Amino acid sequence: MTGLIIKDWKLLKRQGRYYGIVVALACVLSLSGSQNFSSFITTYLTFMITMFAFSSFNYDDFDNGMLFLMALPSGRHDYVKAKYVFSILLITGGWILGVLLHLTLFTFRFSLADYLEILPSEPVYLLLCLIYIGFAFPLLMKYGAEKGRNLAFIGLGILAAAVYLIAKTGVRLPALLLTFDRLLQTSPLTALVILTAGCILVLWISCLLSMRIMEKKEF
Amino acid sequence: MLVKLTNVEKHYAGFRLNCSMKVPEGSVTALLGPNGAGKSTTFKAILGLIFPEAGAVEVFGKPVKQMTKEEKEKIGIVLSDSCFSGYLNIEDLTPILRHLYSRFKKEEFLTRCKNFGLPLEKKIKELSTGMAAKLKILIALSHDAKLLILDEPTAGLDVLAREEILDMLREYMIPGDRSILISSHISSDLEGLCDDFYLIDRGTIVMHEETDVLLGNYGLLKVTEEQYRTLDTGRILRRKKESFGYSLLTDQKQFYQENMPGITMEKGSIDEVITMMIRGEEI
Repeated sequence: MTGLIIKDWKLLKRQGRYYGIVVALACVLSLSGSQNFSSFITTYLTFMITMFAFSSFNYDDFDNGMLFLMALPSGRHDYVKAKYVFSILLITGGWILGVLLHLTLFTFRFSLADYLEILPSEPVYLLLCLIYIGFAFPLLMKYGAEKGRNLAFIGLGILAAAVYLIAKTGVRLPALLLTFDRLLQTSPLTALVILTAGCILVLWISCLLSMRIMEKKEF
Repeated sequence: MLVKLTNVEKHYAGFRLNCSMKVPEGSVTALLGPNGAGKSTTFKAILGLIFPEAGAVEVFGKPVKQMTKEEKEKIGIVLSDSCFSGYLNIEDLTPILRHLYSRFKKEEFLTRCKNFGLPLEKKIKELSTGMAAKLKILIALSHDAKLLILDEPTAGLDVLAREEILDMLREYMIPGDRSILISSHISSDLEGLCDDFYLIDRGTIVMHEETDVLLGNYGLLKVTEEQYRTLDTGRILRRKKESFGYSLLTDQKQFYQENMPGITMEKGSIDEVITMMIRGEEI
């Protein structure tokens, strides 16, 4: 498994310059925005790093590479585990970088006390991105990098459209979501613990599902 | 037996594989056949990349599905159209291989790469066809494999590059307890390397012969229609109509040399045998 994680890391490093631009752009946008807009840097960086986790599948598919990877001694299960471990580490790393940059820029422009108020909302971006890969990875495993990613984006698009419509039309949220929203306001720590538990559950089920998909897949 | 396929069946639209073959220890076995004959499908079955609908695939004496990671490490693989991502370079590969194969010999691998003039910092996709082919072989040889499975390792290479690769394979076989299963379109390469070969056509093994037997006993008879009418065809495997009469493939050329001395006979080469076995008609 470690060998496959190193492979993905080496491929990520090949795009170092691109990610440097992403970070610089995030800093500029964050500096130029209002106080409310400042958390953009965390969201943006976490999301962009999540996109790399997706693109690592493209590298594997490039030139029929999956055939060779599946013939290696590490096998199908290790491939799946490596993808999840690498992506979780990567996205968490990107999120930490985002939080540190956010903290630095926010403290520089406003105050540390103000930042501490919004700090509990920061992990939400990480957890949402992790939940998203939990839904997307089985699709990528089953349908390949291109088709799987498109399906995952369509799913994300539908979700975004639903959120937009709910906000725009003022439709009442389902009771469960309303309760969670209230909990987020009154007891953010409890809400985060629940969200983290949900995230772990989604990733665990997703990983098992991906293993099952790969077990049955022919190359 | 290092590899054993028993009545392995796999169906695709318009194609059916039905294959039995063996790769004994200490031998180089070739799988030959035209494009689309089923060579890559057979290799995929051996590597557990596809699931046969019937039959059994055994590697190192156990079903391929039950092979452990340690046993898989004993196989060196070259696939004709697949390798590590072309965006990686050779330097990137060393830590990857070190973690994938417990017996990976880093220094030997890098020294060989340098000896073959492979640039360590150049992306794999930027290497020439010959360099990329050499790299694939060096990866397969880098971890003390007991069995090499090589699908078209010399495809697209010039004579010199092919000879370099064949030399590497001959050197690999020196210890005596290793085996190679190789497929190639260039059968002349294999005449000096293989101990035996299987010929596959439309998913079925149509011939299995030792290379020495083929080169020693097989012959191609060139006969006129008149000669053909009086010929004892009991030892003829295939017949092909020609402008002058018939080309006939036999696996007992000595019989015809002794009993029909006036007949034109050519020494059987792997290429001629393949052509006759696939294009020729049975008598």
